[in-house]
Formats: sequence, structure tokens, C-alpha cells
Amino acid sequence: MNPTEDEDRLLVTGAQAGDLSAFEGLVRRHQEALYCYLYRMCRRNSAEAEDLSQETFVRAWQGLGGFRAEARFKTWLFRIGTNLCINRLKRTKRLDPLTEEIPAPRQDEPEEAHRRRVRSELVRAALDRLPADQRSALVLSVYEELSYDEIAEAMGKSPASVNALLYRARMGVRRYLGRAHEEGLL
Amino acid sequence: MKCNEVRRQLVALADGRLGGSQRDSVLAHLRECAGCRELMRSLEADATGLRQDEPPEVPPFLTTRIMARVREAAGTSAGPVRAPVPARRLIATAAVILAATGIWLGASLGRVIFRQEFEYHDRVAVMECGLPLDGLANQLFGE
Repeated sequence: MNPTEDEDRLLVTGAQAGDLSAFEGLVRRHQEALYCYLYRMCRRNSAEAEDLSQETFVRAWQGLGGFRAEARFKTWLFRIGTNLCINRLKRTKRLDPLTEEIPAPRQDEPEEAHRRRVRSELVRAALDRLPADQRSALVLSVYEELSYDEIAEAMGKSPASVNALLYRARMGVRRYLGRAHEEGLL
Repeated sequence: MKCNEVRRQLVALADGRLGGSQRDSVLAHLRECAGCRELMRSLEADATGLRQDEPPEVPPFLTTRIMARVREAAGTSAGPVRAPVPARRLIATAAVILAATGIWLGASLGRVIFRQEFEYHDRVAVMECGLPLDGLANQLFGE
């Protein structure tokens, strides 16, 4: 167990005894990662990501009594966030298929700035159009750098399912970014 | 190994998560297969593109807002805690209030006693000497 997990464990013990300041310590340690994850999951809707972050911590506080000591707090928290987010996304409309058009340079936009903008827009569009479970696996892998076992824990799936989800997600991104590769933008 | 078996392992290889004999088998296949090599190059480029995506800015006061909702759920007060007033300042304030009250009480009592004293002398002067003093007490203390 690493020092981060040791510290989490101490704070969890305090919070389980009803100490709100210990719980606030957990909030401070994990809110940024959770918010960034939910932001990418919610297709960059900051208001939605913040609301889900708040809701996730409320659920975590309420369910802390059932938290098992051998689990990792971060993956447990992300599992709550993932479930809340996927349930909410089921109610939202699917996005239109991605157009193959590469955005044109803006007036007086330097070439490098245009490349950066196009790359960022394409990556965002590719992520946003993945099914929620594939997006979740990919974001946890690429941006949170969780291991396959940790992703499996955070998503409530087996490591083999995570492997399959990541493969499908990366092939999905591949289709979306193929044109950008051909244009030499990535 | 067949191409479709290898392709399932390429994502893990591109992410640096493939080890041991599986990695050796995939690398051996890549040396022989141009199609899988090309896919591998593309997956690595995608991974680079994905990693270049900037993280969002975290909203200000996120902790405060999260904790406000947690406190609400916990059924405790979410309001700010009033800062404690130092004991010494409380004692000094109480002493000033007591002293002022004492002075006011003393002055009021003294006024009553002096008035009674003067009224007594007025009556004595009228009775014993027949000299009306025109209500000295009233002149001094008002009606």
C-alpha cells in the first residue's frame, strides 16, 4: 500500500466515525481527479460535471459505512461517480455522427495554432461520441492512468471486459482520428 | 498468432500494459506483419493525441460547495462557525458595564439622599425658626 492510500485510510476511518473534517480531507484529495473524469464523461459540460461531483461525494458520505477496508477509496469513489454519470447520460440525447470535415483555419490563425485547435477538437469529438462505458474505460486508462484491475473495480466489471471495452474504444477513436492522421494533423 | 488475436493485444501494447510472453508473441507477429505494424503506429499516435487533451479548469470553491451538500445530507449546520471571543475581552467589557452601572446607581441614590436631607432642613427651618427657605430642595433639585 502506498502513502497516498495510507492517508486515505486514516481519513476514511475518521469519516466513518462521523468526522466531517476527515471527510473534507478526502474531498480535497480526490475532487480534482473526479471532476476532470466526470467533465470528460459529460461531454465537457462543466455544470453537469460539478453537480455530479457533488452528488458523488454525498453518496460516498452516506455509503461510507459499507466501505470495505481492503478497497481503494479512489476506485470506490469513481465507481459511485461512474454509476451516477452513466444513469444520467442514458437520459440525454445521442450526438450526431462525426463529420469528416476538418475545421478550416480561422482568419490570421497561425498554422501551429490551427493544428493544435483541430487536434483538440477532433480528440474531444472522438471521445464524446464513444458509448459511455467505452468512454469511461478510456478516460480512466488514459487520463487517470488506472491499471486494468483498478478500472475494472471502478466500473464494476471484470478485467477481461475492461480489456474488450478499451479495444473497442480505441478502435472507435481510430475511426474518428483517421482523417486527421491522413492530413498529418496528429 | 493470427492478426485478429494480435489486434486485441495491440491496445495494451500501445499503452505499455502488455508484458511477459504475450508481449514477446505480439512483437514477433509485428516483425512479420506490415498491416498490424501500421495499426500499431496509428494506435500510438492516437494515444499521443489523447494525452495532449488539456484537463479542464476545476471550478473555484468546489470543496466548499461539495461540503455544503454533504453537511446538508449529514443534517448538520452548513453555516459558518462564529469565531470565539477571547475571555479577556469579555471580562473587560463586563467590568466597564458594571462600573458604569455602579456610577449611575450611586449618583441616583446620592441625589435621593441629598434631596431628602434638604427637605428635612426646609421643614426644620419653617418649624423652629419661622424662616421660610422657599423650598431650597426644590430650587436645587427641581420639582
